[in-house]
Formats: sequence, structure tokens, C-alpha cells
Amino acid sequence: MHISEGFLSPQVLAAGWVAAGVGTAVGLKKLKTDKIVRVAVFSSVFFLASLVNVRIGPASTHLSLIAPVGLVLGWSVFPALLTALLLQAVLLQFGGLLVLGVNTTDMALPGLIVYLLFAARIRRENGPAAAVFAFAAGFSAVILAAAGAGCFLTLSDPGMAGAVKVFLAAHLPLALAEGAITLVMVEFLKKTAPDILSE
Amino acid sequence: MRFDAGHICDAEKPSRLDAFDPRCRVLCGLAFSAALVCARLPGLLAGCAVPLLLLFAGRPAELAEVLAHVNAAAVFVWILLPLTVPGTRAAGVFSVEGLSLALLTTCKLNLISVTLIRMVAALGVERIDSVLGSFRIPEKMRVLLLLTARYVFLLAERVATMTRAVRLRAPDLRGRRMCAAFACMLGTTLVHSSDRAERSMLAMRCRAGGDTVLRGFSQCRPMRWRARDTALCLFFAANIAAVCFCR
Repeated sequence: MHISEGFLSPQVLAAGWVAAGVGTAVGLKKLKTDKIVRVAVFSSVFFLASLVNVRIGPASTHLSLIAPVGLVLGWSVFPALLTALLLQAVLLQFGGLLVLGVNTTDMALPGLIVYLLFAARIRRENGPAAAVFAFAAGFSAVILAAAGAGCFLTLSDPGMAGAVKVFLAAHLPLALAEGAITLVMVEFLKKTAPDILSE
Repeated sequence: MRFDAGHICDAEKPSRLDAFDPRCRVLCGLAFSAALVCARLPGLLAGCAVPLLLLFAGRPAELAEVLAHVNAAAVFVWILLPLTVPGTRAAGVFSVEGLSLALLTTCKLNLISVTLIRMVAALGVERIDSVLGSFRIPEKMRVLLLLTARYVFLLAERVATMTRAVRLRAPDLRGRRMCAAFACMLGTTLVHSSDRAERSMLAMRCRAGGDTVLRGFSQCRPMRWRARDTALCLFFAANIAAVCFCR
């Protein structure tokens, strides 16, 4: 999911930084001081999810947990993912520093979208309806992030459109896995710590 | 499913670049990388001296290992782009435009990665936090960075233990059950860690009182801009000019 250095044009990089800057500013403004520690915990969960490798046939990919992070944090998903991606770029060389804005927008925006679309419904509903919304949140967050990455790559160079189709198809199994994991995590949180999902 | 946290490394290894002010390193690294982003192959050739110098400013063998990992993305580029980019076909299969785009992307990927790893990433989280402080980044953001860096290591330890436990209890777990087991494991870790972190924060607030808990949480190291920092900026400015002139 992380876009590496060198793939994007200066215009796309600038647009990514502007979007990430606006999202982070709004997220920080809405973030209360006493909730900062929860955002830090979820930010590190996102960081570590990238280290959980899922085997898909002969290849492997890693989890992202965009949807659970988005569902819990709301607008704070922007500063949370900016921080996590900065640490990934510094400690693991995942993604990069110049592409940090684009990667933040690419992953935080789907997190925010699933929060706006599904968080209230998941809190309100119980049983199969909540499970369906949770699965849809996890699945659509990955698909939206992959589509966003595809858009950024195609806007940088239209020649990459063919490769982007392969990239999108490769994310389908991951989206299904993340949908299932989000479903179980949401059910787990609703049973054991409903207050985490209730804000 | 496998949890692979062995390569997280927070230790800052000393290098010759440590003699320079961190602010100067960040500014030069980002400006030069931005120039490389805008360049085509002639510009990249003109600018490749700086990454080559930086390659030998620390331990080249360690950086080569990191670059091998970074170049995993380049492998997909070399497989996909020559087959998918429309244009003149060489040997009836590979597109010349695709090969040229793959070459350009790989060169940029490596040159920018070397520059940013040596100039910025090698500073480590604490010094990057100080640089962000000197650039007037909001304190909330910097506190979030420091807390996240702390929790990454705490959670990594806990997740590694839990993953080992899941593996030992059910070594042949597959499919839906594997997803459920790992999701429950992640959920438990998350709930426990969140509770513990919030209790720590409450304790800090009890000691500090009210909303003053953030004040002074993230303290900048003193930094001094010297003549050699100005010289480094001039050296990078000359190289940026060369890249822009040749692009």
C-alpha cells in the first residue's frame, strides 16, 4: 500500500501534502489532550499491523488495519497515520519522507470515510447488521486506499495505468482478509470495551 | 500469518554527518530530494554525486541491505511497466517507453532513498522531534510522535508474545479461524494497551495538574548552526542547481 519515493510527480506530491496538512490540522484541532494517548496507541497499532505478514498463495502482503483505526479515531486518523507513517519511513524505510503526504492522504482519507459512513451504524446496530457494516468498513477501506494509490500513480504518469490494474487486483484478497479481521475486532471491542467505539 | 518486528532499529549509529546541525541536514536532504523528483535521467546523472558521497558517509554495507529491501518495489516496476506501458515494442513484447519509465523510477527511488536515509532518517526519532520543534510544529503532534514511538516498542513486544502463543496453541491455523484468532489477539492487545496508556496519562495529569501535562513533555535538544552548516547548504544548493540545469 505504501507508495515509494521516485514514483510520483512533484504536482501529485504537493497535492498530497496539502490534503494531509489540512486533514492533520483539523484532526489536531478536534483532538482533546486527554485522548492523545489513545491516538498514540492506535497509531502504533497501525505501525505494527504492517509487520504482520499475511501469506496469499506464493506471495505475502501485510495488514493495514485502516478501518479499525478510522472507526475509533475519526478525524484524529490523520495525525495518527501521519505519525505512524513518519516512524515507518524513519525506522523501517517503508514508503518515504517526500511521499509521506501522499501516503497519509491515501490511507487516512479511507479511514475517515469509513468512520463517517459506518461508525454510527456499527455503534447503533447489534448482531448481523453490525457485522455486515464492520466487514464493509474493513473491505472498503482497503479498496479505497488501493484505488487512491492507483489514482496518485496514474496522475503522476498515465503510462502506469496498466500496472495499477494489476496492483488493484492484488489487493482484493487483502481487502477480504481485512474485512474479516475488522468484523472480528469490532465484535470483540463491542463485547469487551464498547467505550472505545462509542466516541 | 507472521509478525516480523526483528528489523525495527531505534539505535542511532554515529556517522560523519553528525557534525552538522540536524536542521541543516533535514533542509538540505528534503530540498535535494525535491530537486531529484523533478529531474529526468540527465538531471539524475548530474545529481548522483551527492548520494554516492552520502553512501560512504556511514556504513555502506548496512545501507546496501536497506536498499535491497527498498528495491522490492523496483522489481515489480521492472516486471509490470515494460509489459503494460503502451508504445514501441522491443522483441515484440517489451515496451521501450515502459523500460525507460522503469529505469527512471528505479534511479529516482535509489538516489532519493540514499539521500533521505542518510540525511534525515539517520537522525533518529528524538532528534527529528527536536527539528520539528524548531520548525514550530504543534506540540500535540510532537507529543503524539514521541508517545507513538514509545508504544511501538511496548506493543511490538506484547504482539510478538501473543503471536507466539497463538502459534503454539494452534500451529496449523488457516482461513477464517486464523483471521478470527489473530483479530481477537489484536483486539485484546489493543484494549489492554489502551487502558494501560490512559491510566499512565491520568497518573501524569495527577502529578502535573490539569492540562499542563503536555507542557515540557517534548523538550528540544539545543542546536547550533555553525559555519560548516552554511557550507553544507551551499554545497547542496550548487548540486540542486546542477540537477535543475541538466533536467
